Amino acid sequence: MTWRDAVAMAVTSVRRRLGRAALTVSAVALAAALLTALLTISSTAETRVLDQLAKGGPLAGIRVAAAEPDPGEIDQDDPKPGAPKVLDDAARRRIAALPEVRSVLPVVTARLFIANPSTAQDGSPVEPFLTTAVGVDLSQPSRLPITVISGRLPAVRSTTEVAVTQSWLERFHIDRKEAATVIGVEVEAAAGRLDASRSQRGTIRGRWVRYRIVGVVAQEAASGDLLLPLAQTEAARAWSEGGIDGGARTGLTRSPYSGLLVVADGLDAVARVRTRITDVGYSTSAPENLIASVRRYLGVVEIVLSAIGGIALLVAALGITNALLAAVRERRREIGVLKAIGARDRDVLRIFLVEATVLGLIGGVIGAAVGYLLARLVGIVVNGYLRSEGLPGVRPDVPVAVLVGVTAGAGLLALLGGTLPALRAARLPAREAIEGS
Amino acid sequence: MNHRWLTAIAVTVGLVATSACAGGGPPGPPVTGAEDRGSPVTFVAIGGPETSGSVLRDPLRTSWPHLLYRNTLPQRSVFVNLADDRAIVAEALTDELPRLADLDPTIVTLWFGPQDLREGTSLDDFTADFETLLTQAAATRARVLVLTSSTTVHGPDPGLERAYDAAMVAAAHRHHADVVALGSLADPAGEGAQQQVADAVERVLGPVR
Repeated sequence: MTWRDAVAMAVTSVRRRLGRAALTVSAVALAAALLTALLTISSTAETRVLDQLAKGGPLAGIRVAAAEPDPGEIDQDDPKPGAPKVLDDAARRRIAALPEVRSVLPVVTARLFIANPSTAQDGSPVEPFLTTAVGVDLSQPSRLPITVISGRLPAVRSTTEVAVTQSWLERFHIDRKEAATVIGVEVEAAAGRLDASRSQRGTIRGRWVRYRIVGVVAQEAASGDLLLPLAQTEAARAWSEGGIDGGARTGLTRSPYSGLLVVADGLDAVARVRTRITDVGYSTSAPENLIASVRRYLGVVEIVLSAIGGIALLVAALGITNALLAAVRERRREIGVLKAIGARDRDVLRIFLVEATVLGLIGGVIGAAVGYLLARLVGIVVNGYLRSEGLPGVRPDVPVAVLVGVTAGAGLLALLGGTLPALRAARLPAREAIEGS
Repeated sequence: MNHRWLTAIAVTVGLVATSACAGGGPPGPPVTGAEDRGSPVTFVAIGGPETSGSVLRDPLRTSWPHLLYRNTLPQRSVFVNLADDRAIVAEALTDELPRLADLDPTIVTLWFGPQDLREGTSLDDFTADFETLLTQAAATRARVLVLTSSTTVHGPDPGLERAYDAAMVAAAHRHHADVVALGSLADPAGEGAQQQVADAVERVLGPVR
């Protein structure tokens, strides 16, 4: 008897007892769905929690401040920086050349004067104000501690797009839940420069630009109301620095970079890279200790959830055993006839094992699909709640390995569950089988 | 039937796997924005108090250069107002003009006369200084617009002011600059006329894309 014959006989048997097969498959599918959904939700929750800890940036991200390290704060995740220190290209190159440093992205801030919008959402007037714009390389969003709450990030090389932060919303009396209402609003902003004039105090001249708000973000690259492509803050900064005071009157810092965003080779390398940057002479911060603790707790939660799903699968496998034992009893005559016409024990064993595996795999595939859809459904409900609260949504993270693993696991458990009935059927003597039936 | 089962299983696995893979990392932003298309536009305003808006309550929002910038020019435009509160043409040569070339302007407006009149600049000095100013402004290859307002300013010497304007118009013609005559406005530097000045400049400037 070939494998093909065994599969054909197993399928025929399933079709002949469709009701029982459907119930058995349903049990496996339910267990597989439960396991898939639990693992997906657990994985998404882990991603979300770690993302929150890393402020949307990479887990191995390190923020370097334009300041000296404070010796008393070095082992802290978020230490108070020491005295201000110029962070320039030379320092950037030194840090980029350190071992285990994957990338270094500069953060350039500029002071901007905002003339428009001139009214808040409730209609109250807003006087022109000075604020800080944060410029970063937006072509590598995954390496930035930025979370998009609404809309999107500005285009990488745009001169006309800006994203605003929640502090901007507060300034214009906009509830976080209504963040999307600022998208499309035009912002008129100027970098100021002190020029010599007839007046002894000089005159402030603005370099005006108009931006369209394309998104609302939470960002930890640097403190500021606006997020812009790097070239925009560099241009604003260059204008301010061209003044007779080098930009001091407009609150410009001396350091060309207000910070660097460093990504280490991995979470394990973060501590070593931070030590090396401290040796170079700059203060760093990274949520490494917190992330390590949280990951340990999340690992425990994942084990517990997997165990729950696993138990469900085990129960389903017992269901398969039970169903096949019943099938063996019902099909004694069939087994006897098969043996009488020359089928060997291993042929009978193969038929029952194939039948069990087919039931397990079908249940596994259906369960994985249902579990995936269930996780997406939970994601939609959770996102609806998060968005209503003005918080960034989540993307259900369904690893392909989970789907494949659950399906294969269901098949394997079914195979194991079917072993006992299959052995019983295989060892049944032909004569006894026919007489007994 | 056997094949149908296998096909159904294969399709389900494929769909689930594809769907799972599609839920990867967040997409990055686009490279350029919709409003970025087109050549750069840099508008520079040169002048005295009429252009700096020093007489206005809220010059950053209501002065004519700001209105022109906000309502007429494309969003990708950059605007710098070099005008100084008390500048006459001679001072513009030293305090405003040196900044112009660095800005690489595409549109330059010049409005002088009233402050020179108040400070008693002679016609010869005014004419010579304005000629120098316009020559250098035109050398930037920007489109230059000269604003005149002689018929409406009731200064101490209307004749001299008209002569200033005549000198500016003559210089504008020599350098192929456009003239924006604000003669019909009662008080072009006043609060109520800012939009009208911006409209008058816009009419001469035409659409900028």
